[in-house]
Amino acid sequence: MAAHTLNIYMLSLGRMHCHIYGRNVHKALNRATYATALSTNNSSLNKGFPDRGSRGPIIRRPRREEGEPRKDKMPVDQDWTAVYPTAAPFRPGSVPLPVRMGFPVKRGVPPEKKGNLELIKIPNFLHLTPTAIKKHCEAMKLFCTEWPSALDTNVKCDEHFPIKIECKDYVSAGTSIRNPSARIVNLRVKLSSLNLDDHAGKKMAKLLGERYYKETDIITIITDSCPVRQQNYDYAMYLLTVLYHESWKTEAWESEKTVADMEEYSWEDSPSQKNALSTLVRMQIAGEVEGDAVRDKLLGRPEVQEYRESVIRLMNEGESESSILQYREAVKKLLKL
Amino acid sequence: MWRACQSERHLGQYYTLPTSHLHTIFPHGLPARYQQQVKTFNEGCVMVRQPALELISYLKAADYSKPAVRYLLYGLKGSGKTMSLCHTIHYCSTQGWLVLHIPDAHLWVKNCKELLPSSYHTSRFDQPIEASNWLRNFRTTNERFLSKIKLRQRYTWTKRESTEKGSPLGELVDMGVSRVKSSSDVVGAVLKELRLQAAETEESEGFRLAVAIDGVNSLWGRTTIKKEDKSPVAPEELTLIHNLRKMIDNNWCGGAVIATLSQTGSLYSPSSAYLPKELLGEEGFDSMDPFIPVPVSNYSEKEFESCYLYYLDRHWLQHPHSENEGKKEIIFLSNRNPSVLERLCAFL
Repeated sequence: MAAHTLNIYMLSLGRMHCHIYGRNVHKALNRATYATALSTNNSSLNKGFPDRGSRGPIIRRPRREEGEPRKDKMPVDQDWTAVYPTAAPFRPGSVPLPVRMGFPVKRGVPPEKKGNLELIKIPNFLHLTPTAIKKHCEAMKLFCTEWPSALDTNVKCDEHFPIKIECKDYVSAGTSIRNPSARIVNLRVKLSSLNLDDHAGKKMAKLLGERYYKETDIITIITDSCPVRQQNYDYAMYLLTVLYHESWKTEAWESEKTVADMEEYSWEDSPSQKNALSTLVRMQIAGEVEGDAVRDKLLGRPEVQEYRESVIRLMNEGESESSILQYREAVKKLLKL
Repeated sequence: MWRACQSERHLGQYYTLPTSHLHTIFPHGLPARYQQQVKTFNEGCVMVRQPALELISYLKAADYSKPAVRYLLYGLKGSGKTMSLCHTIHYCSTQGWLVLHIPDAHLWVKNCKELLPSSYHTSRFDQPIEASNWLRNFRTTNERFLSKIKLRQRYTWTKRESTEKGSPLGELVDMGVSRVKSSSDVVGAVLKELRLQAAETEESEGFRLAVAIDGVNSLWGRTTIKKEDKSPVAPEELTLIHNLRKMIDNNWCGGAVIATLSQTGSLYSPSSAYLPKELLGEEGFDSMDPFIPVPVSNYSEKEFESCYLYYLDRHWLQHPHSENEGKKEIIFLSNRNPSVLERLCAFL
């Protein structure tokens, strides 16, 4: 009960505050407009528009007073979808938020929302609040079929339907129902769900270039070259098939792949390995026999393995304080400091 | 000597550099603002900080019959890398090492007034002014070694001039300073001799060599020097850089290479980069690898207190609020970064 009364108290305070502010401003404005209207009227009647001859004097309807802006009359629990049912430009009188936008001139503040062209120019999403979207969904449910109950998790969806096609339909009030943007088809599939081995996977990623996002492992193919959606869908599926088959083949020129082309760093045959080995060899110059046996023995040592891992981490993951510290510890052990 | 027994108990405390050392060991090594501070306070005080102590402990523990170990000081801008390097150099000097200090390698890859084609190697370029400057400072730093070290090889400069085998190093250096045209090659010869001779043990007149390079990332970056046909010069085409890279390789024994990264003077690198691999680049990292990175961070609470008290003690902070409220403001503004702190306090 206490909470409830508090609520009403706050509500009434808020409204009063609004009212007072609104009233004052409007009174001032009203007075201003009324005063200026009168003066211009007087002067114009006498000087600006002298005798119009047979047409007679201009009848100016007296300007009626502005009402209160809508935002002052809004209850807190109103239905916002009634205020902005569709996409509409920003109306400062209908949005009860004290928004400011613009460049603060001469150490001032951004200008207020009243009469602010900046706020009107930008797109606003006041017609797409969560409540509005819920209402849209409720309305669209009539036209939808039921979701199959067996596919209740994302994992199951990915497993049974790895390829996801996305198309958009457009509705507008106009002379034509066609919209050329409706032909765009967006095909998404996870690379890991395709049957590719190591080489094929890397080749596929290289062929796709920007269309493959490594973090989420998703291939996105967007086709819009054909005029009809059906054709674009066929083209996207064709692209996927061709990429899949091409990446399984190995061409003759692929053997010329250089270190710069490699996707990840491999320590074997890298300058880092050579440096480490040569350092170790020099450190133990007395008495050791040169040759492959020594090299393998050195490589098998735990410090060398640790060093190898820290270098791989540095190169693949990029630098960070922790990876550098790990590298430091590994080098210290390697050089026996 | 006092310096040799610095340990963790002395963390955060200041120790004074004797004035004679300042002139001999650091004719060109100290940061510019620190030199101004030394002139103002009439003394040079260095704070004992953790990175320098760590480096000194590694140097003490290292085995000098093994190849030279490379250490790299890295950290944010103004966190004290050059000062830690100078502290370590001072330690090495007092221990009797031969210090090869290149105060700012960035100066060698930019703003070169005179570029001569090298006489020794046709595709390389010489920088006579920088080389002769450096030789002069090298002479001041290592006076006592100049007569002791003897050359192992005969160096011919022109048809009539040559330096004989067995003559002292001082003669070579003097020649380089006086005959500016061949000074870059003299630098190369000096480095080679030192590298070969550092490997000997202490008994047979050997010595330990400390190569200290500030701004080592300039060795592998780009240069702003242009040839006459306006094409840029790659770093390896400069004799000085070429010889310096040979010093950094760990195929010699009997010393250590201590380097700092510096973004401040570096060319074509973003100002937010401070981690080793970012500034060294692929090539640099491969050359330095395996090295020991030593991070240098901003002042800790204790170090900040100590620095603040030092400024108060020298009456550098004159503002009446310096005792209490001002301190919090200064901590907030500088984030305990040593160089920012020093610049802020300069106004007070």
